[in-house]
Amino acid sequence: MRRYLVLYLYFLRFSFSRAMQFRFDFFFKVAMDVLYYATNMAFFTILFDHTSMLGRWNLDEVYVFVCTFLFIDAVHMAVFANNLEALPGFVRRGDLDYYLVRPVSSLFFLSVRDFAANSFLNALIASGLLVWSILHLDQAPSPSALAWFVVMLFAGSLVCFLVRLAFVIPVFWLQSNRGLSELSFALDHLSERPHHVYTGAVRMLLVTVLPLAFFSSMPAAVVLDGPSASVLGHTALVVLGTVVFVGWFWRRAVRAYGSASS
Amino acid sequence: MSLRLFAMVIVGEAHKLLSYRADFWINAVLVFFVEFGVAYYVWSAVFDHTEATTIGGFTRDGMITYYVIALLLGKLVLGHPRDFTIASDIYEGGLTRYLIYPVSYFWFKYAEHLGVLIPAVVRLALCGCVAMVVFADTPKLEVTPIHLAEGVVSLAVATLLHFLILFVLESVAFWADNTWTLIVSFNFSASLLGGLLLPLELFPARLEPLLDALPFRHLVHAPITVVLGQTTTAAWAYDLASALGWCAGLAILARVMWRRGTHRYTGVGI
Repeated sequence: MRRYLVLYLYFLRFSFSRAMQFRFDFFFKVAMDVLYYATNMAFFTILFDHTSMLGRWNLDEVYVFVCTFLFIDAVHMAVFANNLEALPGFVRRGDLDYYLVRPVSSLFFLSVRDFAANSFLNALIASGLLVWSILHLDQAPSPSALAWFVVMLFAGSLVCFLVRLAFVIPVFWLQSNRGLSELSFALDHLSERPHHVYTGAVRMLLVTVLPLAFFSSMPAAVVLDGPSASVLGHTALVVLGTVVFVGWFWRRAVRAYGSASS
Repeated sequence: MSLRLFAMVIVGEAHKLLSYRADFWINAVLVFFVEFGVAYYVWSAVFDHTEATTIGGFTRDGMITYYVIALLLGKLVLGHPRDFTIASDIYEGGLTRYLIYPVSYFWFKYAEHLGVLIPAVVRLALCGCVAMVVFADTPKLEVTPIHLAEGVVSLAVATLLHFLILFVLESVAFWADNTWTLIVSFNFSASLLGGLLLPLELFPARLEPLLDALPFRHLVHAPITVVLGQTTTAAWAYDLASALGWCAGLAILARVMWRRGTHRYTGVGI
């Protein structure tokens, strides 16, 4: 475990020193993400000019939802996104060989090798927005709701990474994963709206086999509606199920990998 | 550049994209229904809660129709930013071969851009037909030949405007290391201020002058209003003139940037 921690600290050092070599680019990326945050906030602000509720939440509560989404997205962008984007290229070119023979978990190495320093700054901005949105609520959440919310943020970040990884893994068998990456990008839109707005089978799907509601809506529900044993238990099951499935999928994919000829 | 070569580049680019059939079907069908589903559920929740029968002048059915058209036309006009390769040509030195080709780089790239949009045309036809069957109960669009003609012209100008904006933004690659962030930022702005995320009728009235002053509404919102029959021929002509004015301004800027940029271009790649 210590070996992995030391290795990760090296990854962080390399990533920050590389980011600082391209400072103009660094701050441009920060500005781009801030524009993304503004777009999301503006969407809901304009929408609430025409309604007082969306699903079960009012505007202040939806701000908490949006900021939760932005925070988890920023964490994903900082820790995992660059690595997931690079993976298809490694598989196609056969560069994966170099990672498979190293004496550490290939999944760990390939998932966290490149840390996006600019997104780390965005995660700080998003966390500031999240604190602001919680302080802005009419009724302050209880300490236990806040504590469970922090746990749900970790769970949401993990599920977000695993689901997006599951859409990248088919590149081991397909010539191009462009279609799947487009689909994954489109499915992300489902997670950008509170899960209460969906009904029937779609909502059921989003909280079980395609757990996009855990990217932000379920964590926000814990801080807004209060933690309940059923929601927390359900979250634990979903996290466990996703970890087991994606772990199995990854092992199958690595077995199918045929180096540069794949 | 001859018309024949122009057509060949369009067909070649479209053929390249359509050769990945799984990607095409996922992109053409699944992505549309997912994006539409999100809008459908959000607006159903809004209309279920509010007692008003119209929001921003749209009934529930009108809102559904708006999003069907917005998503189909939006994809047709905006395509996908990854399909644009001008910046990578500059970074990687690939521009060199175009400089010695006896064709205009601008028109060659425009032909490629139109080729990339061909799958979106197929998607428009497929999903449009399916949507008409699924939402058969919603009021039928009364598309007159005049609306259709005006809509086609608006779409053509919108694709040209989009290409010119991207050409200018990607030409920044002659001077800067990374233009990807500019393109993504443009897409965020175009989605919101162009009417893809929300109809512009829902924006506060105080923002109208800003929306009118920017080019984004010509990309998605203007063609939609034409197809929905929400505009008069005089208003359409005024909008079209405004969009063409943007195109002219951007074409001049693109030409200036190209001339200055190619003088700086070294061709060594990164």
